[in-house]
Amino acid sequence: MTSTALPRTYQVRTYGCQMNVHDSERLSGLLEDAGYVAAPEGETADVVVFNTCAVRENADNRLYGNLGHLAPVKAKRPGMQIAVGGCLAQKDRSTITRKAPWVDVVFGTHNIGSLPVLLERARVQEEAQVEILESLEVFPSTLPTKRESAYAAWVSVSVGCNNTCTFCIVPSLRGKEKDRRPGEILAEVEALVAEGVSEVTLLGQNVNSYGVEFGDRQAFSKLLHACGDDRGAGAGAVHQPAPGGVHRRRDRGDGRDAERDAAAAHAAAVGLRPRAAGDAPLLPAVEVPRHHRPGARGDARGGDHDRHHRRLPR
Amino acid sequence: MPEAAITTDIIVGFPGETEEDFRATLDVVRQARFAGAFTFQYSKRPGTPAAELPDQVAPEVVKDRYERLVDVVNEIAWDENKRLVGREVELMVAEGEGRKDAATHRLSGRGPDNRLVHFEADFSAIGGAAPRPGDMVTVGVTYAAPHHLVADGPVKALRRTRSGDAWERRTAAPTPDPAGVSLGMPAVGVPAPLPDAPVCG
Repeated sequence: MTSTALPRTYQVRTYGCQMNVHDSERLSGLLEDAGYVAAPEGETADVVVFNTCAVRENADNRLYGNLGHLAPVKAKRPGMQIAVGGCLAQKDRSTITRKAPWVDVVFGTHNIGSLPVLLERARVQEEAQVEILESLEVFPSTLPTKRESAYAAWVSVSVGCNNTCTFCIVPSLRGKEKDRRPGEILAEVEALVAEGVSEVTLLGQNVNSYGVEFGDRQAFSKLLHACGDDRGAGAGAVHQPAPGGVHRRRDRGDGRDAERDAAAAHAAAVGLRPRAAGDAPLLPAVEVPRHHRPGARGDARGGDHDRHHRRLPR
Repeated sequence: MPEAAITTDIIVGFPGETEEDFRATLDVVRQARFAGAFTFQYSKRPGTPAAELPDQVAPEVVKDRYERLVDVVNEIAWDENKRLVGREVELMVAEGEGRKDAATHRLSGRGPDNRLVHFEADFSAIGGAAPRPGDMVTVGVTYAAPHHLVADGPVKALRRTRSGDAWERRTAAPTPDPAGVSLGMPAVGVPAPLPDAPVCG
């Protein structure tokens, strides 16, 4: 790219969960670092990036439908590039370029940082690039980031999931749980607060189990407390414990509520106990598929029932 | 934590789910008093154990149960929202969360329980200046809908925050030199909306 050329424009289309929204902020950050600019509203971009979801079948259908719509657009626009990343890319890999040969780049959940290089390689070699890693090497948190909001921010505490919920494809696409160190998370939160952010949402495929990688079962509640003590700003909390669940922290600016709210959130996170047969209905916010029939305990599926219990923090 | 709002995700139609199982799900929703729930019809995913389970539930049964669940979820959410009519709440003013705000002359914000509140853009009691996204306002809830609240009448108090300041700085910033950007300040003009809550088709 010469210095007199107009910068190439990009657009990121995000599907699925808040973790994808978080990752898309990194995709945008990476692209802007590499000299791309956001395409103005309503204009077709030079580079279109799909950050995809695979949690339900209609997500599959949606991607291929969208790629189909872009084929004639790209045909009329030499130099346009299409990249597909996210969970559906991690799942389908080169099937994407087989079904949609006009796609230039396929990248997965573990190599978000490779996007600019892959786009360049595809452009120079005039050949589609498919690069999928089998596990996470670098947290997307550390990549250049373009945050969409001035007052709210997404912060990832972990990526991946060690559960085996029988209905869920996510662990196979996001990998085993890897936890960010508390110090790094808190440093990110502090930096955000310094920039004016007062609402931070902590993200993970399974925030409740944060700390499993370094053997601290209290880690998530400690993290909540630390965010509450905060880095100068005071906090309120709304807690949503669930796989893929997130926690919201709100700056009410007075600091008084921080301890109470963090403790309340802690109680919500760790106050759940294993459920025995005949118990009153589950405490809210833990979805357990009711697939288990009494007496089926010997087989692998019966084992899943116990695992639902064990994954609750005690 | 009586003031907590608890939401959840619910899948209906898991293989082997009986009508009795499903009614138990409805009971949980009623007893838990969820402020809201993301609800889904079970989707068979390749490579998962559930995809191989016997007794996959027929699509029309799943759809029927789903619609019944949505009705109960909406009814409970609305009841819980109605309990807040007449209360004062402090909101963080949001951006991009009110589709109809221009037409209804309202702004939108979220309370400490993350409930969405559309409030009248009447600043007569707070000195006339509009709050910015990120600022905190105190309003009185006047109406409850199933999934949001409305607070008409003058805004009762305004607290300008560093977040509001940050929002103002961002929207005033000129378009930067694309070659030098690492923080990606947006261009002049209407700021980008906040990312939506997850809704996957």
